[in-house]
Amino acid sequence: MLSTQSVSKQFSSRVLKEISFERQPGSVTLLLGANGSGKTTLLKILAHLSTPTSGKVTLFGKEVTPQDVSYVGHQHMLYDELSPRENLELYLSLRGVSYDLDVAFDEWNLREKDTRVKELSEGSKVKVSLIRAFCIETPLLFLDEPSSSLDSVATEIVQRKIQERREAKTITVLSSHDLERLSLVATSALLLHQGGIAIDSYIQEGSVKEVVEQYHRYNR
Amino acid sequence: MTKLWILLRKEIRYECRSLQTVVAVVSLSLLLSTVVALGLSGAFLSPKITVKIFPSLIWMVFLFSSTIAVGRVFEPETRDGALHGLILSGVSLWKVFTAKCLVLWLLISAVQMISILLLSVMLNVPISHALGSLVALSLLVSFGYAPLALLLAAMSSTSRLKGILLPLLLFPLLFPLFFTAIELTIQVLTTNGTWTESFWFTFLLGIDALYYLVAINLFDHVVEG
Repeated sequence: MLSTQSVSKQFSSRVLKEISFERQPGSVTLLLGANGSGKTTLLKILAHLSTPTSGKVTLFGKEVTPQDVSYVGHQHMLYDELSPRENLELYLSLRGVSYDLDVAFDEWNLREKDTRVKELSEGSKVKVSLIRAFCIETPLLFLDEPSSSLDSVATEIVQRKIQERREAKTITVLSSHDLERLSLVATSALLLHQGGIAIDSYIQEGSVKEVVEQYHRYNR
Repeated sequence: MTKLWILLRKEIRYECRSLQTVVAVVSLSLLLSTVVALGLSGAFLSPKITVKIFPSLIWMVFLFSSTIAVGRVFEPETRDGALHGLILSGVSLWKVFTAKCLVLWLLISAVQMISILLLSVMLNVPISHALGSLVALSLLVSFGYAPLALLLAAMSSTSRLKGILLPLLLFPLLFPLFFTAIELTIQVLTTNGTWTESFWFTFLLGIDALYYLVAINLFDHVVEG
């Protein structure tokens, strides 16, 4: 079980305030909130890429380690002078696992696999990040706006991949503005408002759809 | 060890493609060496005085050219969050740091040797009798310089003042290394291989170890910050 206990993050002002929630394996949580509500900060803390000012994140009672996590963020986390293949091979060899990258490139329809990353389009860079996130089965998957810059075919692949990971009992938390598509794969929703949790459908037993409607009301 | 080797290969491949540090450090070293040599030739110094100031000149050229070039050495890690990708691969940060440090060390040592040769030719200072010792000394001084410069480059990489912040932080901290390098160069050029028996040699080894250990222990905190 993924558990966050009173997680707060403070920069010049407080971005996250006492965030606590729990998720079981196989859950897909849609993280909602207006710009600046703290979604990206929360996902980075969950992914072990940012340290909370207070509070902790645990997986089955133990502190989350980078090996537990697959993550796609606003930054692509790629070396621009290396090709997608070289970037992914670097990641896989450091993880100590092997994977047939050509299969993944074909699946995601990424033709520029041997072109330097700095010459790729934004959509292709996102695809490389997504291949990295989905090529290894980790217990935790965090996706921050995964469908931005993607065409509809690639977004469908994201949907399918999340579904596959759900069946493999991965705990997924994702934020997206593509609510029409990605809310379909979510099993619960978490609405952030001004750095705190406004609604957690997991506890309050509301449907994802209801939380999405509530989110739209907050935004008006 | 395997992961360190993987990271080393990545560093070398990246540098070979971008040439960002090589071009900067080579061109700055050549330029500074030429400017220094031309400036001194106009001063009509006696050969005796030129030999005396030669150790200070070579390390001054090293300090300025390396520090300007090293300012960009951490950029590939911060650009597009590439370092986060490495963190998520589960690799220890000390290995990331050591791989970068080793490549930087070899690069600046090589350029320093070229710079010493160039200055000796232009200033007409004989160094052929001490070439081996100068190579060893360059390697040792660069080994102290690389971890400290890399740590401070990482610290200043996210600052808006990074262009000026790095030398401001680095130069005072490098003073013991710089001073030791000058003392040992004088000994290398004036004694017959006994420089390794001097106090300054032991001091240099101590500084190298200290700078590396401090840098590697602080790197985690710099990255997390």
